[in-house]
Amino acid sequence: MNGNHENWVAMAKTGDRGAMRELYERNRSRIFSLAYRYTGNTADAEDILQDSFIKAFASLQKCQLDENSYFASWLYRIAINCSMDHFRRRRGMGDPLALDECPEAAAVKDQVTPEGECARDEARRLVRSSLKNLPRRRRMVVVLRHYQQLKIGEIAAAMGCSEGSIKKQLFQALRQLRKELPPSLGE
Amino acid sequence: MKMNCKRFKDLVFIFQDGRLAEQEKAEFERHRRSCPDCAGLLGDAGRIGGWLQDAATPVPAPDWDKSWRLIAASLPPRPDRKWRFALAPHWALVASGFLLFFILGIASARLFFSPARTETPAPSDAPFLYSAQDYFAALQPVMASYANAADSLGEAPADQDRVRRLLGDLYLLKLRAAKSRDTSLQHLLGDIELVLLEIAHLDRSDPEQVRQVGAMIQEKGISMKMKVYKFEGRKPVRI
Repeated sequence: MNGNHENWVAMAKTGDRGAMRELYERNRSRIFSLAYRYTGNTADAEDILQDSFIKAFASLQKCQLDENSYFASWLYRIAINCSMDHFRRRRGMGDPLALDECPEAAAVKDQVTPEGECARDEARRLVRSSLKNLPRRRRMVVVLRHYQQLKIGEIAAAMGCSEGSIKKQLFQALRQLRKELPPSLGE
Repeated sequence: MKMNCKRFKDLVFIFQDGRLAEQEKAEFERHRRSCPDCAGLLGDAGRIGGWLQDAATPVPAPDWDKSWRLIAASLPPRPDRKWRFALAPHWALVASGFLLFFILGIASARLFFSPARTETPAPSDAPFLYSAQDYFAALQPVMASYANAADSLGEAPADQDRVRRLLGDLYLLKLRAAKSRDTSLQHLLGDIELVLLEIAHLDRSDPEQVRQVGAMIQEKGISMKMKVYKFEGRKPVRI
């Protein structure tokens, strides 16, 4: 599996479109999931997905990918940077589309009928809103930790910083979320 | 390391990852039970993590093909096959440049700084002469033919063109002998030069002149000296 993966990378380096398509299909779900969790909407996540692959393929020939440096983790780092850059670009154009306004979120909302579910939905909306208010880097650390299920060391490697820095970001995020969210949330 | 609040805080996420060693985990749990602040911190971390998980909506499936079409449209055209070498890593191109420079440098140094080569004229019998011994081997029949002529054995002396070629080789050999500081060889070559010059200028139709040269060879003992030199096992003087 891994050997095949390296072959696709080598072929893609020569400009082989078939190999690029193969790399896209193998990695797209992971990248889209990260982008969607970070931005909270499909349109922005699709933009980030496309930007990440375009940047990766454009600079694939320049980078040194050997046996120890895998395309997937390299692409993941590109996607993290693209996501944070995208968020910065979007800031000047107003807030990204709120998750609750997304068609897929609306579809979930439409399914809600019991009374208790309304309070729980309100709590979820509050959590998502608080997450959106986090500074972009802190928000990325939270997304990688709680949605992408990465360990501290993996987050540090993906973001190119120390484990201590990641822990600090997580504590700051926890403090901010604890301040914004009521302690009785979810009870 | 002793467990305190600072250490506990440092280990909270490692604990959540399940990466604490057994002993450290036990100390962590002990501190949690004894310190309400740290217990609250760990509780908050777990609770907020749970809220985030709960608030997550399923990731929708986008139009993968549409995204690929947009990506493919933005990719640069495939490079021309004949320019593929430009895709080689930069270090490889730099290394190739250095290697080429190194090879050219050696070639230039050999061309400009090596001693000038002189085309060795073809010796009398063999295509090349490599040492004084080889030269003597080629010279021996010539000397013998004139020495025998002096004894009136009737053998025809060697032709003068062959003698002139041997004279040309002799000059090269003398140059090398001068560098080798082998005085006996230098004297021997001096005698040979006198004899060869006589032969080169003699009238072969005059038997008297031929006999005189033969007598000169015998008098100087050139044949004997050449044989002695050949078997003394000296380091050969190469030309």
